[in-house]
Amino acid sequence: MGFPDLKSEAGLTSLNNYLADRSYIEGYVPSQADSVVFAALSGAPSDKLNHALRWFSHISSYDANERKAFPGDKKSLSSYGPAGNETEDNKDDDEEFDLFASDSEDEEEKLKQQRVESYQAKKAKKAAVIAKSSLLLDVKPWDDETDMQEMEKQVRAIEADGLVWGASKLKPVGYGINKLQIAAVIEDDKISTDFLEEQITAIEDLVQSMDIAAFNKI
Amino acid sequence: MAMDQVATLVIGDSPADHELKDMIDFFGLSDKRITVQLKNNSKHLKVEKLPCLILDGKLIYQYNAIAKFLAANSSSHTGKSDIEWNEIWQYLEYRSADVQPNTRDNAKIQSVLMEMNSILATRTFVVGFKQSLADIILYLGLYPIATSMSCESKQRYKHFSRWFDQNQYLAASSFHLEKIYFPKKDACYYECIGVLVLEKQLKDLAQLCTLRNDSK
Repeated sequence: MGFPDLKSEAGLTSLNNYLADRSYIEGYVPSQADSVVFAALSGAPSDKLNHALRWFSHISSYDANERKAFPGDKKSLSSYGPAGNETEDNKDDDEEFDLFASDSEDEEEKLKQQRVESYQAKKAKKAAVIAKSSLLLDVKPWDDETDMQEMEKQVRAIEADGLVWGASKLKPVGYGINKLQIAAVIEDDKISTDFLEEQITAIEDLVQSMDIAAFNKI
Repeated sequence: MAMDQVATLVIGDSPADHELKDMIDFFGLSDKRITVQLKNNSKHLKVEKLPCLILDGKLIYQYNAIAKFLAANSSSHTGKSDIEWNEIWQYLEYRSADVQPNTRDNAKIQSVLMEMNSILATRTFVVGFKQSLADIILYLGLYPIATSMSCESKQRYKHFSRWFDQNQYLAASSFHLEKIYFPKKDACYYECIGVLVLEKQLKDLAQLCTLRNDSK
């Protein structure tokens, strides 16, 4: 869910609460998470947001090049920060830790809401089932002297989103010639058999032709 | 402070001696010609007390002095300036004088925790912006105190908790120490509830037992 707008008071307050028990945005070493969030601020937080200020001073001690070189993947700003309804949890931070105070009811409400939301999110995810198919491809060489290992290597080197290569074997067709039978699982939306045919026959040196031996929906 | 000669650290069995031995590994110095010897195997019969660092024929005693030497050769934990290096020294003294002797005195423990907590309110590490010898020394010195902190007190001294958790992530395995659990603020609420409920149940049970005993 991330922080609210970090140039606003609400955003900085949320950042402050988030950093009360953390040295860094994620984990125990400075990472791209810190660079991204740092860049989203328009300046040092005020003194009363003391956790955010501590973090800000710490990250400022690195220069811009060092910040670019922090480990981790750079993700979008909204992927960092509190998940769910944590942003509303401002009040307990510096107050007396009164365990049986009346706000325990509010906590329960929030918890219930959080759980309802995550259940609905899960339901929504389940609906998106990806259509897949399992294929068996026959790849035929030019002659019996074609290097079948090399051919297999080059076929497997074909990479695409939604394509996973499976097991393969060599089947004899006669006169000492073997064909490569290789299995693949594809996502119907992303890969078409034309695409595979194009890619495989592009290996002209080794591949004479390609057929689809079997095509099953999963 | 380059090291041309081989240095030898002679140690005994005490935990402090082992801390120094672990520091050699932690600072990555084991390939830099510092060897470790146990007193019994030591050929250096002049060594009068432990721990002792033998450097270029000279004997250097005292934990703090040896720790400083090891850190100085690490090129990573000495702070980034002379001023920071001197700031680090004050924490070595602080541990020896205020922390270590008082790990059983509850009032002193609370005052140490309060002091550490307020120092760490505005700092990620005690000196400068990187972990230094001061953080390691304090981590080692405060470890016994931290193991006996209650959930409520970890919540109360939250800056201390954050700093301790940060440093144990970086150092616990090198010093063969168990990591201490510091619950994030929301988790602590439920943990504390659990403990209090249990305590109340135990109290009720105890009361019930005394009533039963009285009525016999």
